[in-house]
Amino acid sequence: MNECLLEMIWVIVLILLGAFIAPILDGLRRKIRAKIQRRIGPPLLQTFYDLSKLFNLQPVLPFKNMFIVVSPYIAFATLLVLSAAVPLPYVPGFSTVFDAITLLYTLLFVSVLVVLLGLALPNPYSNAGSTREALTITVFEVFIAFTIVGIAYSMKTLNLYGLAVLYGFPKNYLRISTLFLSASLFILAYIESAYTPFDMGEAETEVLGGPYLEFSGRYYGLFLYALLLKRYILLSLPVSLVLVSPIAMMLRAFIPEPLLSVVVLGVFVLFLFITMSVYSVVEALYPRYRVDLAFKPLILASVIPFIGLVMGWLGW
Amino acid sequence: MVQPPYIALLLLIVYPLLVITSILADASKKKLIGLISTTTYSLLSIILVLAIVIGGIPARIKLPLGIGIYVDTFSLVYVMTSSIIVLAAGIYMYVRYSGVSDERFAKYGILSLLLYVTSLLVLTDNWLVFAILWEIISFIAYYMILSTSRDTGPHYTYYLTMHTTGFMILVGAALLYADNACNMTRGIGESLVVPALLLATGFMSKAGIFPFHYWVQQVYDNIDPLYSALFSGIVDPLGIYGLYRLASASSLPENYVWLLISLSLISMTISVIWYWGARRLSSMLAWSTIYNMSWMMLALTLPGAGALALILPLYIMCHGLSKASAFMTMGIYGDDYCRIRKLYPHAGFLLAASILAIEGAPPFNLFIAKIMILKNAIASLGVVAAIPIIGWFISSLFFFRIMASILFPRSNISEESIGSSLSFLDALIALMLVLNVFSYWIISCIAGGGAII
Amino acid sequence: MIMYLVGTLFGAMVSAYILAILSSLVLRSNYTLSIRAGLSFVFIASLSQLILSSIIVVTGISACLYGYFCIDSFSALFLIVIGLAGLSISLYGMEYMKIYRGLGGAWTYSLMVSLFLFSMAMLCISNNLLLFVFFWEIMTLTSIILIGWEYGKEYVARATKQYLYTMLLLNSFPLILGVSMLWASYGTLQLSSLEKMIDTHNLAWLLSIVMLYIAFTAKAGLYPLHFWLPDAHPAAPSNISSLLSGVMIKMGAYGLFGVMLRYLHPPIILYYLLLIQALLSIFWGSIKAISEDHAKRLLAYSSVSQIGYIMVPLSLSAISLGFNKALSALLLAAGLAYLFAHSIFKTLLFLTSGCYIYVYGSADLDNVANIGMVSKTAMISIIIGSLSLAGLPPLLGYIAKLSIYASILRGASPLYSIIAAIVIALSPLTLLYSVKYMAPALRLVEKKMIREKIGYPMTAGMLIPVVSLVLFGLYSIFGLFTDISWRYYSPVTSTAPIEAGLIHVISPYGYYLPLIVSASIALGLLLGYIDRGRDVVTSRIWTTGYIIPPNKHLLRPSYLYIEFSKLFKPAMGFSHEVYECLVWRIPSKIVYSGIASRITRFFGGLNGWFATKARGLAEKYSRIKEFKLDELAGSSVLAAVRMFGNMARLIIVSPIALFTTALLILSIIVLIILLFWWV
Repeated sequence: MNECLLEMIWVIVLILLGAFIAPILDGLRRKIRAKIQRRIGPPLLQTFYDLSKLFNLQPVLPFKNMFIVVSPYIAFATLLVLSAAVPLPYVPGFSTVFDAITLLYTLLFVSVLVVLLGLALPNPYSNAGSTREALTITVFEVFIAFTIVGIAYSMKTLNLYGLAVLYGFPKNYLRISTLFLSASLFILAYIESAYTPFDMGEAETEVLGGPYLEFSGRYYGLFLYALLLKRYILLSLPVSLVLVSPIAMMLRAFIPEPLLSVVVLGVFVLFLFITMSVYSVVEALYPRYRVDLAFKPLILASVIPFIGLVMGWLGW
Repeated sequence: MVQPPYIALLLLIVYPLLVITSILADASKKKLIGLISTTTYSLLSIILVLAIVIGGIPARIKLPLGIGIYVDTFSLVYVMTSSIIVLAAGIYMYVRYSGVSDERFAKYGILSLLLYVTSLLVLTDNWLVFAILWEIISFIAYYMILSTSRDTGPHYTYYLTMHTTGFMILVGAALLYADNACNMTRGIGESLVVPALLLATGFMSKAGIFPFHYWVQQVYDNIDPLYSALFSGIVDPLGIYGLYRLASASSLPENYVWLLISLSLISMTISVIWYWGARRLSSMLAWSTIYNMSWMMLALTLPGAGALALILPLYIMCHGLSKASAFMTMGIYGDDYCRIRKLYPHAGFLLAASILAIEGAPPFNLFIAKIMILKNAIASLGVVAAIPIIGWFISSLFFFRIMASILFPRSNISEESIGSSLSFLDALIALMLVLNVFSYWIISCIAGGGAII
Repeated sequence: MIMYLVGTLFGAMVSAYILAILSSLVLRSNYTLSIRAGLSFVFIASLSQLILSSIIVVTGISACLYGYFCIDSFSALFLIVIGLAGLSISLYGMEYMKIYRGLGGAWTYSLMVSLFLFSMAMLCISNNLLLFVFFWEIMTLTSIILIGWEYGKEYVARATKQYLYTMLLLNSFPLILGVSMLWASYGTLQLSSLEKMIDTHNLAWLLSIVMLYIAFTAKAGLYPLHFWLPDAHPAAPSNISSLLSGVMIKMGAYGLFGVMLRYLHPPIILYYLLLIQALLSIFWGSIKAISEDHAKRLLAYSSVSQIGYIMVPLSLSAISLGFNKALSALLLAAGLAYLFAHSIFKTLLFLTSGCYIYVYGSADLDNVANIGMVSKTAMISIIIGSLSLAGLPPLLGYIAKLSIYASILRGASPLYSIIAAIVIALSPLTLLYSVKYMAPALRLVEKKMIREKIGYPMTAGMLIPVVSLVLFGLYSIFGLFTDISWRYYSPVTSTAPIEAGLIHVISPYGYYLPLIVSASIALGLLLGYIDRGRDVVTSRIWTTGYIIPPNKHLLRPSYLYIEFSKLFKPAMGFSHEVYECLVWRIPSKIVYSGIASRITRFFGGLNGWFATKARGLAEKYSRIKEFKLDELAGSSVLAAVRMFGNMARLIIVSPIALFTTALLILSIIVLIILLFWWV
């Protein structure tokens, strides 16, 4: 019973953390991008201000249809709950229950929901955005497949909590296969988050924002929040597995249990910011891919996890 | 246990009386009496068979006057099948041929007489009597061809063939009589090969096995479909029955057995080839009869074949009933099978079902009989069994093609459906098909044991 | 006690099928009443079948009837599949068959549907190969008649004939050959006896295994023997298509694993071949489905792809049987779970395509509009069915897919990881075509003319699978599948030593997964409902200024993925040509060509020559010319011959004379017989 209660507390903590950190990360991204473009840029909390503005605006929709009204809430609620599944060593939340495949497929579910919305509206730009999004998902799946299989083969488990703990052991992270797979995880987080080289689905200049075009007010705000949460969740995968885990393992020797979880959380947030900064720099430097030109790099990128998988077979 | 005196009473007094009544009814053109007497006779015949089965099939029955009866599963099933077909035929005759112009087809006397002589033939245990009764059957069959045939060609062919080979049978029986080997149950003995071969030749010609297959198509093409049903259900399988009796009574040297096997394989192949050139449904069914007779002969002649007592009766019953259904449907609705579903939807299904039953598709039990024969063929013939297998496949292909033409006619036929109400005859045909589905169960009950699968 | 219940339910099922046929026959003059009566009894039969098989699956008992019909939990699972499908389609058909009223044949329809379902149920519990083939053939025959229901349409007639000949060549012929060879070699067809008797060095056994393999893979629709499926499944009425795709192709899986692997000790290399075929099916089916614009053809190709998904874990289970029994059981459980899930959602999807035909008159995805305006149930069914097909949480389809991935990933060798990678990489193709299927149902504008409104029977028929998909997704019944698979592999011990619940494999509290995701979706729905868009203002669609037609969607579903289809067009076109040649043009030429008739005409000529000779002989002897008086020596012979000929002619002319002659001869013979026996 105690354990259950503890888990519930951690779930709530993680949800609140996610809800709070995600917009800050976005603010960080915008700030760094502005700095690279030699501007002052918006304050770090700007995304919060944007969201609160959106929530206070009167929504204008093309139809007053329950599907359109409910979908942003579904997307937001699902991702909010999913943010409690962020894998952190010694911080049990939903990560003890979730596995990598379910996490990625639930994220996919939200993407599909957006795609369906895009197809439901009679706006040709939304339709085009949805189609692109669907095709991008398909093409990138090869990469995801190899990554998941590689991790499963090397670590013998896909449970998020298990992975978080296992990654900390030197015998696991000091392997060549793990090196490649970690790189794949970083690339996965980057591409799935739809940062600029790869945001063909909701491109502003080409499809006017894709499926999000017709949404406004709090509905668009919810979608925006959901997108930010998705980026946060995806970012947490490489950060916590590759960066936080080994440190947590090392700290475990010195710090007792209850305090360790808090320290891990702190380290996690720190590394989130660091990684986000790196991502923002990359994002600011690259323009968007044209949709048919993007397929080749997406497929070629699969070589990296494939090498990781092969290394895993060879036992390295 | 049915006592011999009652059997004698029935066989020698009651049945002939009914037969004579039918004949007289024919002569005086009283159709109702003819129907009643034929129906009564066939029902009594079925009841007799059931009574013997329920009472327990005895090893040997000796009637008064020293007449012996050969009773086993095959003979009982043969009598039962013939009675069922005659029953259906009688009703068909009454319903369909009641007009003045159809008078030459309404022959109740022939029906009853055919059934009577067939029953005697099947139940007798003396070769000489068998031979004489055989001649009578040939006469009856010849008469059937005469009265209902459109063309004169079949008469001569049939007459000559049957009497030549019937003569061979008489000679063979006479030879056996001379050697005191007439009693069927006592066996013929190894030295009496010549009579056995003569008898075998006669039987093969009746069944339509190569090289005596040439008369079948001509006859079936020209006579009325009802009589074709009688031919394929009752008359032609008598050849197989005779071969069966011969097989149980004698043991031929191996060379002759292989000759018979080859003849049956050749007839199978020939009939399958001839299917493709046949234009009318009656010709196709004629070749199908030859095909089925050759399957039965193969079953008989395979060395080491087991469970003949179950396979052959099943085959005869399923084949007779399905051919009767097909011919009767053809007789009522015509043989234009490409349009039948459009004109008479239920008849289309009946015809398709009969075609499937003839070919041996489940749920009709000919399937079981054929697989049993195939199994025996593979076990004893090895690779040569490819011939019946491929033959079955090609004949299925052919029959399925017909079924497809019946059930899915081309869409440029724009005739309106004429009638979709079931008539009494349709129900009769459907009943025969349903009986076909349960025939395996019926025969395994008669055989008194469990099934052998 | 349970045995009596099982027996009673079985009896109830059989009698319900018989009553379906009889009641429909009695009422055949009234089309609607007849169909409804027949289908109600089919409903009752399916219900008793469902209860019966659930009892057996849950309690794990097995029972045998006369040694010929044996039911255990593996067969019972298939009976559940058949029962669930039967429930849905019987309710649905009561209203749906209205559109075929013009074709009549209500009794035939009930007869065929009852026989179809009955034969499938019976073949799953047959313990004897002859009975198995018997019921298999009945299943094929009834399905042929049901597929060709609208034979007036050209494409239906063509599809039915293709199906007929394909099944003859690839099902009946191999099955009959295989069964006869087995029977000839081993002398028995009882599966329980064959299991002990089969030794692996027999040529007949090997040949029969190959034959049975061809038959079962052809029925299942695995590449490359799948070519009949995309034509046959759309041609049938929609509730029959559900049965065909949802249940009949599973019988192929039953044959391969319930009959062959369990009893006939096949060589394992066959299952490697099955694996390759399955992977190719997944790929090929998905690619073709993406390029299809007709709803039912899309679903048919999807079936080809999904049967691949079912066969991959099942074949891996057979392959790993030798060296890792626990993994084998796990893979079998995953395969069975996906089989179960697929039958439910494929049934549902075909019923929804039937809704399109019922309401709009066409199942072309471009010509149908938002069906939510006519029936909310239909729209929910389409969404839930397609999401299950795509394998998105938290529905049953996802649980099943997850179980496949997880069980394959448990394998230790690189082969398993490559196969897992291929399967995961191909899954978004399924997503693509399921989105395409959903696209017309979601369109918010566009009205088309509605022919009929959907009533309660069709709604109820669709609700049953929907509820099953959602419920079974929420409550992970995976433990049941692992129980079934463990009982399959070691019938002696019925308790599974492996963890009951595949989700356990991935995470110890895996039962909560679907609950968590469902809870989050429910939370979203709740919040959305609270919101309800009260203060929403509606406005025009915004497209940078130019006017688009207000009530029209510019993007037709057929335009989706056009570039994608272009990528594969050469390959698809090539394979289409190959199939057309092999399957249609060449056989037609052989069948309808003059070769066969020429052969028969030759033999016919020979025959005719002989017959003419015989006839000539007969005629000669009945008309003998006059001889001269000086040939007195032969006059007696001449007289005899002439008398014979005259008699013959007399007989020909007058039947009564023949009759009299016959009676005379009969009486003479009777006298002789009596004389002999007295003396």
